[in-house]
Formats: sequence, C-alpha cells, structure tokens
Amino acid sequence: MRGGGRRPIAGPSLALVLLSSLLAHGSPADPAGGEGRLEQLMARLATSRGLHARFEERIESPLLAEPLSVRGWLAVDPPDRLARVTESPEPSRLVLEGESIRLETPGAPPVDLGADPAARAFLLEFARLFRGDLPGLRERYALGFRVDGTAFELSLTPRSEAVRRRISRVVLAGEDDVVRRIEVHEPGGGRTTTQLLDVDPDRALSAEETARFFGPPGAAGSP
Amino acid sequence: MRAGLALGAALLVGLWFAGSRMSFRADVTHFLPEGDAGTASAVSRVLAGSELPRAMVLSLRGRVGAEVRRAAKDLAGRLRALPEVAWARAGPDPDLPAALERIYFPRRHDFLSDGSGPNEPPPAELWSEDALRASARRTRQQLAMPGGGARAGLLARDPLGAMARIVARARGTDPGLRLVDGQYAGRAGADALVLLQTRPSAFETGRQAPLLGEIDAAIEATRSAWPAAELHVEVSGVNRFAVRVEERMRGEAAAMLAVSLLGVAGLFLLFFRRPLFLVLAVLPPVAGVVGATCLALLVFGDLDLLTLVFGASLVGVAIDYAIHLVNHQMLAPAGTAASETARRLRPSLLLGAGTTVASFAGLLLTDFPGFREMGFFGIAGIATALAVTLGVLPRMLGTARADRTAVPATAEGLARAVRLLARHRSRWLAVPLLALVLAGIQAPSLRFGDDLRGLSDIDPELVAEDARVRAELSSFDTSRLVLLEAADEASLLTGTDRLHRELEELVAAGALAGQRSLHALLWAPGLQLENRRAWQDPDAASRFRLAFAAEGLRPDAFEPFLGDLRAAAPPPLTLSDLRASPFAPLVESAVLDAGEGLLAVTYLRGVRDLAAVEARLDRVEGARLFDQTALIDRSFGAFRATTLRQIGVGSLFVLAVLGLRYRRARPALAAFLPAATTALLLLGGFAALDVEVNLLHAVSLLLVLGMGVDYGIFLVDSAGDRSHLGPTLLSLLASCLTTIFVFGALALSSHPALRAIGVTTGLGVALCFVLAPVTWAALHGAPRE
Repeated sequence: MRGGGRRPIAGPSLALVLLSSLLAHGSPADPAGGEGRLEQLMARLATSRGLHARFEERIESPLLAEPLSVRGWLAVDPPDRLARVTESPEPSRLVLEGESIRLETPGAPPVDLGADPAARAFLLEFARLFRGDLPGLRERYALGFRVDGTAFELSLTPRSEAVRRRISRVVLAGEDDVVRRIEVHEPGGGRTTTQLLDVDPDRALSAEETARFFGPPGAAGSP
Repeated sequence: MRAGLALGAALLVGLWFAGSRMSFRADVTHFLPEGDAGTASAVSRVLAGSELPRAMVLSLRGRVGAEVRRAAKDLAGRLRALPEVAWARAGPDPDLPAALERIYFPRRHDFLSDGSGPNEPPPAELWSEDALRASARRTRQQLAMPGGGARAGLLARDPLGAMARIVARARGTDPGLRLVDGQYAGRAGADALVLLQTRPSAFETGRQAPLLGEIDAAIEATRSAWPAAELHVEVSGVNRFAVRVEERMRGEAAAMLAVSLLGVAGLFLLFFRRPLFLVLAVLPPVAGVVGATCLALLVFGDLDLLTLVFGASLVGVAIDYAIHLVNHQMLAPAGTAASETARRLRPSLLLGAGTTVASFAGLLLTDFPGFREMGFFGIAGIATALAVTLGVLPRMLGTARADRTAVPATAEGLARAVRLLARHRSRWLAVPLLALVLAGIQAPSLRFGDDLRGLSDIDPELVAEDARVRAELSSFDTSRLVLLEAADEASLLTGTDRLHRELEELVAAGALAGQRSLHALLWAPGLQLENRRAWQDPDAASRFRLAFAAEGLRPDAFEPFLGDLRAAAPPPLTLSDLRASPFAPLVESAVLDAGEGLLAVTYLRGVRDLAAVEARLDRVEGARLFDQTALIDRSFGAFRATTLRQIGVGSLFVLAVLGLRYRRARPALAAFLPAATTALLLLGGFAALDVEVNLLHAVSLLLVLGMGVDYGIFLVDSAGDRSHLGPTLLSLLASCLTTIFVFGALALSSHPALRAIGVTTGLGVALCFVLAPVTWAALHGAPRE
C-alpha cells in the first residue's frame, strides 16, 4: 500500500492525533488571537514526522452500568498511516492506510470499515481536519476554539444529521502545546474520554514500531 | 443453357435466403444429449441459458490502488452506458444496505440461527441464560472497541447481533471477493474488480462480438482518462471463448475452402484441361451446401458453426457424383449425349448416394441436437447434389467429351494395373484377411478418450487470463455444483436448509472447505417460525434482563430491542420478496426456473472427500451432484460408443442392401469390403499409434464407410464391362484426390475436432481407393472383354 502517490489518510483518530502533534510543536504568541492560532495550527498539520503515545480511555454509555476502561497505544506514520492498538480489555488494532480502514481482532478476519457507508462518510469528513481544510471544516462542522493561556480547546459539532446520529460533538483539549484529552460525545448521553499519555509528538517510528503497528496481523506486538 | 440459368437463379435465391437468415451458434451444449427437464443434460442447458454465463469480470491493477478504484468506478459507468450491458458494478449495490435494513431488520430474530453447527445452535438455545450472558459480554467488547460508543444506538436495538449474523451469512464463507473502501477488490491482489452482466447469452456470438469490441473501447477510454493509475485490465467471460472460437473457425473455414478449391481446380485442369468441367463438377456440392443450409435454417432456425463446417464437408463428397459423370462422359464414344451417360450411371449413383444417406441417417437417431443437425444437413445436401448431378449437369454437358487430355491414357493405365492385379486374385484375398487379423491383434489396446477439450481449441492465453481473473473473484467451483430440484418454493427452501446443514457438517469435518446457496439469504418458513417461537417465549425478555444486568449492562437501555420482542411480527420472508429487491441478482445465481419446478444451486469450495459429499446428498430429497465436465465426458463417451455400434449395425444394413441389389455374394462383398477393411485398418492403426479414439474419429469412420461403399459400388457396377473399367478407376482416383483435398484441408485445421475428422477421413478415403480395386480383383477376377 505504501509508495508514491499516496493520498492523505481519512479518519478522525489520525486527524486528532496529527492535530495534537502539531499543537505539541508549540506556537508563538498569536497577536490575532484564537482564530489566527487555529489557522496557523491547521496550516502546519502535515509537518509532523510521526507520533507515538499511550492512551487511557473511559467509556460512559447509557448501556453500561459502570464506565468501561480501555488502554493501549496510538501511532501515526505520516502522511497517511495511523494505528490504534488496544491492549485491554480486549486486544484489537485499527489501521488506517491511505483510504483503507480495517479493524483487526485476534482469531477473526480483518473487518473493512470502509464497507460501512456511515462510518466511511464520518471518517472522510474528519480527514479534512488534518488536511488543514478549514473552509471545508467550517462547512461541515460548527467549530469552537478557545485559548486560555497555555491551555486550548477545539470543539467540532457535525452539521450533518447522519453524522450527528452517531456523534454529537468532539472536543480536543490540551495544555503546553500538547493534546491531553479527546472527548467524543454521543447522542443519548454517551461519552468517550481519551487521555493521551507519554506523547512523543514529532518522532518517526522505528522499524520495530512500524511492524508492530502496521505489520500483518500476528506480527510482533500486533494482535 | 436454360438448365444452367435456372440452377444459377436457384443458387442466388438460396444464397440470398441463407444470407438474410443466417444466425450462428457456438454452443457446446448443443452437442450434449437432449433430455427431459429433469435430466442432468437439461440442467446443463438451464445453467447455460441462465444468467450465470452472461456474467463478466474485469480485474484492474495499477500503480496507485486508490486511483485504480476511482478508474474502476468510471469504467463501470462507461459499461453501464452500453445498450447490451444489463448492469455493471464496481462495488456492492448502493441500495443494498437500505434494502438489508428494510427487509431483514424487522425479521432479524427470525434469522438468528439455523441450527447447523456450533456457531448456529438450535434457536431456543440462543435465548438461554448462558447464551444471553455471552451476548452481553460481546456487547461490552463492542463498546470497548474503537468508536464503540458510537455503536450504542445499534446495540440497544440489536444486542444479540442478529443483523451481523445475517450479514455474515450473506457474505458467505468464501474468503474471496474483498471490499476496499466500499469497492470490489480481488482476493489475489487486484486493486479493483468490475462485474457486469450482458443482455445476450454468452453464445449469441453475433451480438457478443460487437459488445466485446465496445467493452475493449470502454477500457481504453478509461485508461486514457486515468493515466496516473497505469491501468492493467484483464477480463473473464464465457462470451470471450465463444466469440474467439467462432472467429478462428470462420477464418479457418475460409482458408480451408481456399485450399480445397485450389486443389480441386488444379486437379481438374490437370485431368481435363477445361475450366468448364471444374465449374460443372463443383456445382452439385455447392448446390448441396446452399440447399442444405436453407433447409436447415427453415427447420432449426439457426445453425451451429460446427454443423456448418462439418456438414459442408459431408456434402463436399457429392463432388464424386459429378466427377463420375463428367469422367464417363469424357471417355464416352463421340456423339454420346451426357443424358445417356447419366442414365447409365444412375443406378450406381443412386445406390452410392443411398448408402451414404443411410450412414448419415444414424446421426438423426441420436439424442444430440448438434449431431442431428449434422445428419439432416448431410442428407439434405447429398440429395440436392444428386438431383443436380442427374437432372441439371447432363443438360449442361450436352455431348462434350475429352479433347487432347491425358484422361484416356490415365484411364487405360489404371485399368491395365487392375487387370494385372486380377491375375493373382487369391493373393489379394489375403489383404482384407490380414487387415482383420491386424485389427484383432490391436483391438485390445485401442484407447478411447472423451475429454471435452478434444472438441474445442481454446487459446491458452485466453484460458490463462480467464483463470487469473476468476482466481481474484472466488474459490467456488463453477463446474461441480449441487442441484436440488423441488416442485414449489416451500419444498425448495426446506430442502436447501437441510442440504446446508448436511454440508456444514462436512465443512466441520474438513471434507469440504465451504458452500454457498440460497440459504445464505433465505430460510424455509418453518425454520423462520422456529426462531420466532424462541423469541416469542414469554420468559425470553426476563431472561435477557437478568443476563445483561449480571454482565454490567443496564437492561432498561435496551428498551428498543425489548419493544420489538413485544411488537407484532411481520410475515416470514419469501423468495418473491427477495426477487423484488436489490437482492434479486444474488437470488438469480442460486435459484433457476426449470420447467415446471425450481432448481436450487449450491456452490462448493475445496471438495476434499467427494464420496462423503455424495453420501450426504443421498439424505436430501431432490439433491444431487452435478459435475458438468464429467457429464459432458460421459455424454460424448456414450455417443462415441453409440456411433461405433451404429457403424457395425449400419454395415450390416449396407451389406444387406448390396446383397439385394447384386443378388450374389461376390459383387456385394467387393462393394462392401473396401470400406469395412479400411475401418478396421484405421482402428488398428489408432491402436498401434496409441491415438485416443474419440467421438469425431467415430463419426469420421461413419463417413469413410459411406464413401468407401460408393467406391466399391462404382467399381463393381462399371467394371463388369471392360470398356468402363478405365473410366471408373479414373473417376475413383479423381474422387479420392478431391476428397483428400477437402478433408486434407480439415486435417490442417488448428481445431482438434476438425483435425480428427480430416485425418481419419483423408486416410480412410485413400485406403478405400487402394482397397476397392484390390478387393474387386481378389473376389471378381478379370473383367469381361
């Protein structure tokens, strides 16, 4: 799948992680305020060499009597690859390569998420985020960007009803130029809060890490 | 002159009629034995005439996968615009998800389990407390997966994963056809696939040939429109083989005709030095072919290409009649009218044509439509040619005779040689006896082969390309299927469910890699209602609440699901429902209308124990294995055996006719033995050279028998008078050489079927020419002065 001519990936997680990596680069004081800083952040989205982070996720759903905890790793290999490896409670791996989106779980064939029209549309919408397509984002999302000293918060509310049926709002919050928290709010009251830990926002992956995150299922470290 | 004009006018009318009505087939099923709707052959016809052979697959590879997929979408659009394309897709029907939701979601719990294995337990078991707790754990796992929270809405409506089970069954066990970004991709690495269905049958080559050209043009246009993709496109489709075979046969037919005509023309100029005689000699077979074509079109509607080529060769034999007449007229005393010569030769010609027709008549009695056509074509052509020989040719010849040619000298030379033979008649009697002994020795080692591939000459590159593309698509075997016949829909669905369970046990045991049938989409009403009884159990909801609460979930959050359990259930799903939906193309490949009943097709993958499969089929009423290749091999084997038997029976019939005609054993045997001895020698030769004897060798032997007996008759009839021996021998030589030119041309064909006919017939006729005078000399002695 790799090689010349690859297009930027589509996917909310990649977009969010790339955005966090960009924010981690640090931005000079912006005399134009939050709006100007957002434009500057979007313009620098594709400059990261790669990202590596641990995550802890708390899932609150109306279906669950108690919140559920998920732990794992995130990796970004620009320009178009992202992997999210879940270690607990159940191992799994979500891999985005170009326009291909697959979910791998042990003992089962990979699932092509691109075959799910709703999921695919949702993921492609988010691809605009990391492409720095601010006009496109504004067209599809109501954006809210707040800066408070070194802290920031970007809020995206889908304008499409179809997307809103699954996700009502996404919030990215960070401090000291590093995204620390991603919240995905679902209609019906559900919320998934992802804390990013040990973020290494601008580092190319080693060969071992590349195999672990993007190698075939069963490769060292992969599910 | 008037007769010639009338014949010319008749030929023109015939050519116009044939040209305006000509419609070719290249359909191998035409050469399968005809049967009732329930027979395997009929099944083969149903399959051949169904939607399956109309399908084509285009495999696309290129430099950038995403670019190739975009190009595939574009190509599918261009193909859809072609009027002869019924549909073309680069991905699943976009209406399918909505149709799936509309059709199956209200009935999702009616399709929860078919009870066919560990993953499909008896429906009631899925509603036990243990099974419901397992479902609760799966629900938690899905919530913990990436984006799991966004699935909460669906999980609240379908916590048992009923829709996922329906989708998994619909996708089947084939690891083949992949979906990448919602588009078809190959299992062997093709970046994209485009599937299409043509409107005409694959075997309607007249419509398929231009369509294939249009498809090629669409591929080229797509390649130009997407240069960055660097597209490499390969294609698979039965229609490509049908068109290619026809193209090759058309091309070869022209070449063979040219070789035959040039050879025969050279021969005539060499013998008679007058081009007019060539025209006259060619008229009967030409009239025979035109007449037979017109009659066959009137009777059958259209013609198979093999029938036309083979039939034309059969009728080409009629040139012998003209040669015999022209030759005798050449050597007749000056002033002899050709009508008088014709009257003298009439008994021989009638008897010769009669025995030839008798040998072709056997073809009419077979169960093979293609061979019945051949028989009809041959008989009609021979009858027409004989009528022209006796009715028109004498009028055109008038009193013409040879002038400054080598004919008299050659005729006299041949007669002298035969008289020489006759002096040692007892010695020549050994020839047929020796042939009998040789054939007897070799007979046990005679090998028979009935492989279908022996009848067709398919371009190996085309075969390889087809195999590559099919490898991208599916690993299901398309030539070995399980068929289930039923009188009505309910019986069909019940049988299909039962068959699925039986075969799933084989999959579990490793005897079979996978299966696919209508069961993936539809179950019998009884099985749907069995599931319904399980979820309509009054205690099911309370068990669900207890189980989900025990696994850390909030039962009240699943009210959408619990509400559906309380709601009125829709009627069970039917075949008609699916046929009226976007699932119709999937149903078409799984259910065929077969006469008064229905036929369900189950596709098999990775059969490792065929006996085990057949044993399971015995347990399901109406089910049987259908091996298309084996069927065709068996069919051709049966026809080959029948033909060889007919040669034996026909020979006795011909012998009887000859006995009645001559009333004495010696002339009857002299007329009969050359052909019979030739047949034995050919079979012995095939055995000695380890040539597999197939159906076409057998049919060719039938031909040789017919022609060889003609030689014997001409010789016996003419040689009684010493003055006629030379002209008759010269006739036989010219006939033999003419036939060798005609069938020698077939022997040069790249088509194995035509080659087998050409070699057998050419050799056979040459042997007949040698053996006819030898046998006559051995049995009859020197002619009267």
